[in-house]
Amino acid sequence: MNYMPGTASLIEEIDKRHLVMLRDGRILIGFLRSVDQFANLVLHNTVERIHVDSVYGDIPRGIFVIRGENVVLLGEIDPEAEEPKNLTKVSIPAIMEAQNKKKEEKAEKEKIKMKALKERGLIPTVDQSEDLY
Amino acid sequence: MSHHQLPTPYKRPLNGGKLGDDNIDQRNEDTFGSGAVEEDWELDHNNFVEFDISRYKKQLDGKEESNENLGLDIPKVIANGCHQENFQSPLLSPSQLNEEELELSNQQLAAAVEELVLNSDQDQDAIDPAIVSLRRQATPSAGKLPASPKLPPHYDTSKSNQFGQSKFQEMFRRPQGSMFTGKMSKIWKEKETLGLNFLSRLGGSTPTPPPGFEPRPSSPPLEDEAILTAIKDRPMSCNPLLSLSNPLVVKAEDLERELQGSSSRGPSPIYGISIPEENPPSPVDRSLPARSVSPIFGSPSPSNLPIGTPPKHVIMDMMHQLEQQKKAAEQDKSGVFQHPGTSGTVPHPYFSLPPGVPAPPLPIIIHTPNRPIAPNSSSRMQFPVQAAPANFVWPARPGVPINPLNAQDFVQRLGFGMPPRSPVQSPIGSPHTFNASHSAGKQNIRRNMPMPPGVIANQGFPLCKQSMMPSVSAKRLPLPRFGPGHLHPEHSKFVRMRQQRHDGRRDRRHYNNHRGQNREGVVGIPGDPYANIMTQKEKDWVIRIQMMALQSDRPEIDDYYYQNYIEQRLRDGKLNSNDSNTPTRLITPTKPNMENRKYVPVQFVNSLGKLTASSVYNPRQIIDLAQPAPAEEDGGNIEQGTNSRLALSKRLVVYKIIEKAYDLIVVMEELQYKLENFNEVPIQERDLLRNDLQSKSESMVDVLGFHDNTEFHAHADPVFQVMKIRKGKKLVARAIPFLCQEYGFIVAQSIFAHLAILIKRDSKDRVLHEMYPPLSNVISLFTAKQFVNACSFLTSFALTAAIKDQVGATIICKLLNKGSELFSSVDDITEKSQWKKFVSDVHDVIISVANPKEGSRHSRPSNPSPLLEGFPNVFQVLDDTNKNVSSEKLKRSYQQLITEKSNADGVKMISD
Repeated sequence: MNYMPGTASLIEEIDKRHLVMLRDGRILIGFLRSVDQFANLVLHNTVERIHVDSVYGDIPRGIFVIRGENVVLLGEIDPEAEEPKNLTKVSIPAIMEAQNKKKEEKAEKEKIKMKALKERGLIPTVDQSEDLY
Repeated sequence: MSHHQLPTPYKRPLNGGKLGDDNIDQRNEDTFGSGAVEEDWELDHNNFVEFDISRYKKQLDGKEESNENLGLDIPKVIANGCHQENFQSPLLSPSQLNEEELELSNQQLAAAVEELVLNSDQDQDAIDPAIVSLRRQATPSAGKLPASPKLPPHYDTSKSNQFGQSKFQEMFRRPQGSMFTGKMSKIWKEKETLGLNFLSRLGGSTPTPPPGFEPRPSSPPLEDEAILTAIKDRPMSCNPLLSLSNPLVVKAEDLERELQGSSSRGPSPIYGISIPEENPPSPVDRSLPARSVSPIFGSPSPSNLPIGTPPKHVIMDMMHQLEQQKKAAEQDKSGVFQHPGTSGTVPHPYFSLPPGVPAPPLPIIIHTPNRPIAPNSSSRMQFPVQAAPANFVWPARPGVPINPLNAQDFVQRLGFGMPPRSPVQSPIGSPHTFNASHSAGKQNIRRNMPMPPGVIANQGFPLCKQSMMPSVSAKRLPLPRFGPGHLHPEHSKFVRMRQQRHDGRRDRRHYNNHRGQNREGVVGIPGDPYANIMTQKEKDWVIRIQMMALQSDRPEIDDYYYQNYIEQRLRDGKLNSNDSNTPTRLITPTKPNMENRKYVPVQFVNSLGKLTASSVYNPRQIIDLAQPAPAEEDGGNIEQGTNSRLALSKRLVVYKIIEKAYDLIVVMEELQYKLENFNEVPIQERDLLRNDLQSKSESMVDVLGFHDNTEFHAHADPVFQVMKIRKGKKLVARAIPFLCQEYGFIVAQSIFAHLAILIKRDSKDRVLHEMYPPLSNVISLFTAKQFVNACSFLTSFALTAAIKDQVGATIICKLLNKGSELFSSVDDITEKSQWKKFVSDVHDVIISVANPKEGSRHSRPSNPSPLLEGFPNVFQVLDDTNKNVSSEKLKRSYQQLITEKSNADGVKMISD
């Protein structure tokens, strides 16, 4: 109940490990080092975490400067609970491959869907789901 | 462990090598208002660097495993220089505070904040209102190094050899035995070397020990300055171990954890402390950074605080501990505390020791600055736990009486810790508003801070009662402004109480987390070399920006739901704190009255019509101010400035000329009026007036750009620049009578040379006719040579334009009139031929204008020129001079021009 106004509340989160979800769906995990009034963030020792089904992978990204408007959510990582019990960590190539596969599957699905819509006389709209968080 | 060659912690900050960072600072000032960059960052940086090294040693010291990565990180850490806060916690050992003093210091704090808010607002006149400037609060002593903190009497550095060193050596042997392994010391040494190398690279000079800290070959290893610096953190860091594990076994993790934990307990010197400059510099100053940063925000304790709960409570705890310790100390009058009211210990809130348990080896420093003590008395250093373990009741325990929280309430509203108050004059406080004993209260806080062992000695400076840790001094950090509507007082109290209750639990969780992270080798919270990259100042800045939105002098309207919510909760009894009998005091920074402030816009040369105040929204506007155009004195070159950027400023120059000339012309006309109409004025005075008028005329000549140059240059014609502007035409018309014929001739030349342009431009202005009477006078005084010269500027194009225009036609007629007079008696063949050519030109133009060719874009002027009627001889002149053209045609043409078409009267008149 006691909190600071606006992005000032982020100041007490500094130097803690945080997960940041971006508008494009990426998930970054790193130490929050700096914030400003726009919630622009500086993440340190950042990893980009990719989840595909029950596997996940971390891609080291180093220092990440995030424009505040792209932040969908930000939350502190509990170091004790960080290791997901029901997920398995895989290597970077593996997760990339899995991600690409997933993407292709999704694209294929979309294609079929579009086709079906077209056949029924519906004009397919541009899918903006990635940007609607 | 001998590191005498390592004086880094006491190295003087390096002031050289500013590079281009001044510009950056300047930009910051532009954006954040003056005062935003009031501190010498480099000084700070160097101080931090010094601290970093010692801190690193400390950390490595406490760790059982040597982390190579961490070691490699040292230079980075140094570069970051942001670990100031680690200093703070052990600095205050506030057991001596009595209630009155606490209250006083609280009051002063409130006043300080109030003043700060007020002052910071005063500075906003010239800057964006969103920016709070802090420059006003700067005192001469602020922003500098903690040059000369007052030392308590026994802090005589000169005698540190006798007492302090040996004592500390003794004290530290025990911690050494328990936690410093040989391996650790080796690493320590390595780190030091690393840091030193970096430092020397950084500063460009080899670190040399300050005067008070020359390396002493015979001194024990623990006299190493770095260690001494580290020791300052030690006392507090050792305490909590006892509550977490076996009190006698000091584990490295415990130490480390406590280092972190304790650092977050220290009060942050948000408000800054100014240090009296008059005091002699002490080596103590150099051992610590000039300012320290509150570790509250971003303190490396990821999970010991509930999310969404700012760590304000930390300060509350601290405040509370002050009181508790004070009480405990007072209870133990017979113990090792010679002066319990003032003796200092650095307790830990969660530290508790069962009676009978042997004291842990804690190098707690207890000093009694108020009373002289024998130099060699060992009572100044005590282990308070040992002395009175049973008497210490820590605030986290239930049932502990809690002092009034008035100041804490306020601090909580600030969201920050209570800063240690300045022993002398706080730059932001208004100590004069409180009674004298107030400063004593502040001094008590100050006194309680443990000092580096090396400087603990007898009372050499009777006048220097307060020890001053540089980390809590000198640098004033910006105070965030918390609006009155920030937190409901009851609410904040409740939060505080809740936090106090849960502190212990959180602390343990925190500890566990740290252990886990250490195991994983994460660049984690405890040894995070990148922690606190964001300085407290920067954090405060963000907070202040956010807090500005909360500034409200009518919270019931602006914050209706929050206020009602709290009221409701109070009614429901959900917000009742334990100490409900404590009167809650709402301390609100007074909102400055904005309406009463005079707004004085910044004025710059050439800033007409431009934004001159930089702000967040237009930070660089000031740059757009054009460079001052060539000065008026350089008038001859005005036209040469072809730079498009200078176009506006060129015009501004002309405006200025006109303005100046008007100033003159008004005075001159007044003088002229006096001379002409006040005949009774004594001759002497008339002479004075005449002289005055004469000098004014000369200045007018200067202003209009004639100078000594009586030659007319069509390409560099300041008069024409003036005449292009409507006001300028009027000005010239008024100025001509005051100019001698020489300059009048130049004006006439200028007019003739640009007659077409002037006539064209005058179509809107309608002021050209005002120029005719004075110009007519000038023409009347033409010599034949001048006449020919002036007429040479009248091209057929200009004549065409002139004939079509009333004023122009009048001027032509005047010229013809004057010319006929002049050249009837002139024998010079050249001049005469030129005159004839001029008349012939006019003749041709008149005919062509009156009889425009088919398809020609020229048309007969719709407005005839009645002014021509004033020159009955003009027709004759024209007729006589041009024998080859039928006079009938000219007559008709002339008639058309001066009258309505086919006006019989006009023809009649002319033929007459």
